[in-house]
Amino acid sequence: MDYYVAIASIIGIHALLGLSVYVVAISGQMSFGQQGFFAIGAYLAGMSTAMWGLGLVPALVLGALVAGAMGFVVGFPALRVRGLYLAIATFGFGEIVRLAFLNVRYTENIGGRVVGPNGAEGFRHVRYVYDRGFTGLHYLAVILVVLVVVVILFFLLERSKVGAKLRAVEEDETAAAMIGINVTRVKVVAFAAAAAVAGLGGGLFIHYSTYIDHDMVALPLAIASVTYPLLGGLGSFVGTLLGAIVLVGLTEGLRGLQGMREFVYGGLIILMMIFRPRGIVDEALVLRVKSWLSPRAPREPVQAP
Amino acid sequence: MTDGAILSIRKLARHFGGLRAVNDVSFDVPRGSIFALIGPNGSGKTTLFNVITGALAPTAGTVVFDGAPISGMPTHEIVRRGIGRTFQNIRLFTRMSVFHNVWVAMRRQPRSGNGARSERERVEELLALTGLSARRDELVENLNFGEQRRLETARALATDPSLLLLDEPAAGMGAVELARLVRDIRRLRELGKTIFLIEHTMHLVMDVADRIAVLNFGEKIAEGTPKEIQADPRVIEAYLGREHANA
Amino acid sequence: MLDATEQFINGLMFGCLYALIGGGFTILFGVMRRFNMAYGSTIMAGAYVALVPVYLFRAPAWLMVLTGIAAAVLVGLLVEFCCFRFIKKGHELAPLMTTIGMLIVINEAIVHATDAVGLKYPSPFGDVALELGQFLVRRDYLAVLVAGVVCFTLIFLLLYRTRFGRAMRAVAERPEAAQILGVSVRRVNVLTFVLTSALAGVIGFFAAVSVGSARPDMAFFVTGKGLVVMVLGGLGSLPGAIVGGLVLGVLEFEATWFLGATYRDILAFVILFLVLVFRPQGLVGTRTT
Ligand SMILES: Nc1ncnc2c1ncn2[C@@H]1O[C@H](COP(=O)(O)OP(=O)(O)OP(=O)(O)O)[C@@H](O)[C@H]1O
Ligand SMILES: [Mg+2]
Repeated sequence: MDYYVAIASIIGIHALLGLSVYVVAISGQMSFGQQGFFAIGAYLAGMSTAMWGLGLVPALVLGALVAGAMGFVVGFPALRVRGLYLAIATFGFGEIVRLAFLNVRYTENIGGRVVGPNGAEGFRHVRYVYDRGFTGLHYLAVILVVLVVVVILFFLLERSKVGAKLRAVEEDETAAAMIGINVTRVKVVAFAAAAAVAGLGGGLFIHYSTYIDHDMVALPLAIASVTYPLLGGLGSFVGTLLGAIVLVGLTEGLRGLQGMREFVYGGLIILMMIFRPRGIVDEALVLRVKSWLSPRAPREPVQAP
Repeated sequence: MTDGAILSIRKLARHFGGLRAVNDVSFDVPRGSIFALIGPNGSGKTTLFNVITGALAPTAGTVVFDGAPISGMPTHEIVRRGIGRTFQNIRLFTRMSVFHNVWVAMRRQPRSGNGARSERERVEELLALTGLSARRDELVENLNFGEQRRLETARALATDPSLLLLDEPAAGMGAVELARLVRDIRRLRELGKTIFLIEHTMHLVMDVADRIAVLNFGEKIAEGTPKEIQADPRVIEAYLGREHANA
Repeated sequence: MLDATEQFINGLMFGCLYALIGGGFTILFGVMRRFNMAYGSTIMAGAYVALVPVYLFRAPAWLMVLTGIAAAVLVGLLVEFCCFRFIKKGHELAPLMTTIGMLIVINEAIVHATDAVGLKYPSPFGDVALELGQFLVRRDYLAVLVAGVVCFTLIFLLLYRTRFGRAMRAVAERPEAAQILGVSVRRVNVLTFVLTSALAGVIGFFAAVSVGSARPDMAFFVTGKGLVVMVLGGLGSLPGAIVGGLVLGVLEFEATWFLGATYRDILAFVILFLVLVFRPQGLVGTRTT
């Protein structure tokens, strides 16, 4: 039971990370730096409850807000470049954050435990949740509630014109500007929102694991968070959720397969990119599903490209 | 500037390194007119559109739209002031449906009482105007060439422009579609739009345009009514070469 | 001050390794216009396989290098086949992902084969530092310097003195035009992979020698350095990569000296970010429209 609760919790947290990448992706960019915002959210929310005496909700909100603000500060210059340049720049940002936390020491001795960011030791003893008698199952419920709230926001975003504008910018910035879209603003706002979502995930994570260190927010996490939307599909946020469930489930489920897991994982990425470069839930699929669901629409099959 | 001009171009230039794609070009587009820009391939027509819409910064000169200088403004600002545009190499949002291509471009209208039509209704109207209603839920890639060009027009109209720039709207069209295009352009003018188009299809230009400007190697070599342009030896020379002009 | 100068010299020599890493990434990027995240793994594979003859018998250094090159070329061809050949047009980020998939696979293969422990590397150049006047210079760094000079000389000869080099430069500058002129882009791509992978074999050997072991985190290390160097040089410029590598080497050694090792890596990434965002054409490049 505990095992499944743990997997479900990880899925929920990674789904947030994946959604964060997804927002950036549908405005046409690829970020390898969301783990940096995840780390900021985690450290900040952790300090809030463990050191500053805040409750869980204000801590999570604070973590998300600061991560979002960082996203704005970083996004404004970084989004001057695009494509590969931005992918590298964001990765550079992620590494800066990681290495900064490797060096930051800000600890207090609380009840005989050293609490706070402690350089290479990491940030231990964020026990707010478990100290208050929450079980893993309770906390899973918290994670799912947060996830549901975020998913509802995404659902509204996808249906809104803002969502459509993001996709317009993704596909063709010149054409998007030519229909009156302020391309820079759309990209920066999307980036900041994405950072906030990642920060939220980080805050949830540190309270789940009670612990984080710089190694946990390195390149492998960046890769994981990018694969959820890319494999799950860029046609709808549902793809990202699907990606997180399948991939985390896969990595955990394949534990038994001792070490074959990474081969499957890597191989899957390659095959997906070759055969379905926009992921499982791509735009054509979304449109087809929509036309099934809506009675008004004509039922002609949508042809594959 | 004259009251009658919606767009005034003054001594406009755009160079790419040593290449003078547009050089010292001036003309006025009268409000409510159908104005055509013609010229041989590579004469700088699209570049001129790019400068007007802020996609490229001018090397020199000014663009005045509706009485205000717009050169140097970002594209989205220029669009909000009332310039719409289609692209020569169609640039639709291929991963969206036909409906969404127009909807995303729809300019927010001030809520004016209960007589205001909903945004969706206005999208449907534009699709009807351009004859795309039956295709509204298709992905763009399933449209044929003519339909894609019409969708570009519908999308540009969604921004509610007073000046519509069309870059070679007839390219690749058959006779039936061409006839439809002529009708559509005239209808748009009746709706109060000023049309400024680039075109190679001469009979279309001579048919619909009120005034024509001619570019050659980035410079304006002639301007006038279709009759005047047809008779202008410099134009004939630019299009057909020197021998024909002398013959 | 003497020590700072010594650090400068060491940094310059070690920077040659960075220049080689950046050079490999850069050639690939220049020709393919794609980024190969599996290049670090190719280097690492070379470093590991180069050890095989050492385990079999007392293999000399040159045999290790040759074995490393052969292994790296095989891996490189595998990467080209799996990650680049079948990608549909218009998905410029797809190869980024496929090569990440490949990186995971290669790394895992190495972890499997070695139980994830680092393998001690022989030091064919001796451990005693060389005295050059007032300076102490590590012999393996000197070897890196020599390797850098030799490799870049060969690369430039290849690029500017052979038919293949001309074809490569044509593809790098104008792929469509090159195709029209009868250059087979696919062939050039494959040969580019062979060339850069051979270079990866050399890099793997010297990188492992200079840290004394082959370790499974080596791929991440060289990828990080490669990115920074490539960016400093302005993506796609080979002379830029050389300058970038030397600059990074010197910066790191001086930063270690003045600030301590922990801040060294931050500095590298701060520079990477700033250069990318504010000078995307690189340190030496000129802005093109
Ligand atoms: N962004 C650019 N950078 C460099 N040169 C450019 C650029 N845009 C256009 N040019 C050059 O400027 C010249 C004019 O091009 P332009 O596209 O404006 O011609 P055009 O009159 O629209 O031609 P066509 O009838 O073929 O569409 C051409 O020589 C073209 O190569
Ligand atoms: Mg043109």
